[in-house]
Amino acid sequence: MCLLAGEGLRDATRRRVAPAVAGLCLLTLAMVNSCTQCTPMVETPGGQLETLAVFGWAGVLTVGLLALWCAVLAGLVAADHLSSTLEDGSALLVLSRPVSRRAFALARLAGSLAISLAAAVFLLGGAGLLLAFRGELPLLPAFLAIAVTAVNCVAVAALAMLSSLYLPRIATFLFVIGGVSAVALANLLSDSGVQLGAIFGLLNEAGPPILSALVWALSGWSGQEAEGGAAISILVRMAIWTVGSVSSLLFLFDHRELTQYEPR
Amino acid sequence: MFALELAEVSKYFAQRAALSRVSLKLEPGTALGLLGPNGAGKTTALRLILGHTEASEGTVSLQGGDPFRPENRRGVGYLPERLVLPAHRTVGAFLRLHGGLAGLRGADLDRGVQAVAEQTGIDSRLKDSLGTLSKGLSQRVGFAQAMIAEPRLLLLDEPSSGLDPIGMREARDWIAQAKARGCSVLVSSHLLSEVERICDSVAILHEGSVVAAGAISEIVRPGEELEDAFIRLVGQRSAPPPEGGELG
Repeated sequence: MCLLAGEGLRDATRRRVAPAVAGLCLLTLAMVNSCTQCTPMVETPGGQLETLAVFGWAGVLTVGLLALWCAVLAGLVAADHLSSTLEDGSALLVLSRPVSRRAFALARLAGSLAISLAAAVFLLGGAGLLLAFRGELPLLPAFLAIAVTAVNCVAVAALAMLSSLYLPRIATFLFVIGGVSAVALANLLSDSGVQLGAIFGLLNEAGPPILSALVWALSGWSGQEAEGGAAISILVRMAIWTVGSVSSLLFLFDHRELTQYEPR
Repeated sequence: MFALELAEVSKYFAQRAALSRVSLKLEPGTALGLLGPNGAGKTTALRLILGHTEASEGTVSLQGGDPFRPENRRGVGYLPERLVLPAHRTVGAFLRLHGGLAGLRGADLDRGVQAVAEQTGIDSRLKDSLGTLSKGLSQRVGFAQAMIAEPRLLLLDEPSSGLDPIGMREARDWIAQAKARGCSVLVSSHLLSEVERICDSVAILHEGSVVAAGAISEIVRPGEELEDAFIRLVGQRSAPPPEGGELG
């Protein structure tokens, strides 16, 4: 398993997307650094908002967007990290060894996640630290947001890898971008008190709580504490989606016919 | 226990039968040639043996067990027909990966890599990138990864592909050496002369069915070579029916 995971990681870091992600991360953090150097003041009809409140909401918005970007990145990187090895024949060579398909799929998932999780820790950690120290915000929400994002990344990456076994690459990419966006939008509308239709209602209630979990994690910055029951529901759904998506990937790859993959 | 056994195996893709009630046995320490024209079902048979796909009917046994179970693939070396090597890796790193997957560790892994590299004549290329190798050298690397850790069973799909006459002769020697230490060998090939020199027995597949199987001496008639027997068994069946349906 260690050999395979190492191979998966090596393949992931060798991909062209890796330096692009690293560059984007640096650029994004430089922007966050630049934006947090100012001392914001917001005048409202009721008076002037406290700096802490402005930084708190700015933090939620910044970290929330970065966390969503990390979840999409996890899905896009995972989308062809397994299927490409089936298409080029290297997976069949490895699977002729005493290697279980589950171990192989898990190693590929771990390899792809290494990139997205590194990006998540770097981006959210950096942004969280900058916001916390310059805006005098508590650090705990930043750590919680990193943990929630990591779990979201695992679920999205496993689902993307799973769909790549059945869908063409471009369809998997669209599925990842569309899926994360739709769920996040449903969560956002619901948290804003908007009445949702059937599809968005279902996505919000039964889908992975990608944005709801982040809003809960960052409630220490926004000052909008979630109810105890709602928080538990979010955490339980996160756990179910993460365990369910990884288990489904392993189970379906274990039972997948590998004959339709002809080496290119 | 047979090194591998297919008992009444059929494999259907949608409505099409890629294999139909195929039975094969490979005795330990012997070599079996799997022959057949394009599309006869040879590669499908190999994929069933490796557990890459499941039989629609019948049973496949690899070293006495289910090929889907990883432990039954221990000691198996496989050379695919179309070998795609990771261009960015070095020959040494690639062999170390497969040696590791085959169960070699530490000093045994170093020795195993060096041994197969010397045997297949690529020991001076261990630090070269796989993407820089010629087709013949790539095939040697393929042989080396299949033979690393001294497998008990070698599955070779078109092993002569890309090799020059010297390489083909060397490949025969490697297979003979493996057989000499008790390794069972299944060779799927179009090159009948190669199979005739390497294998103790052959099975001829045609349109998914075994049309002949047994020792070469049992299949080949007096005065015939294996090629003649192959054409007699397969060529006639492939010939289109005469127009009008009647012979003159």
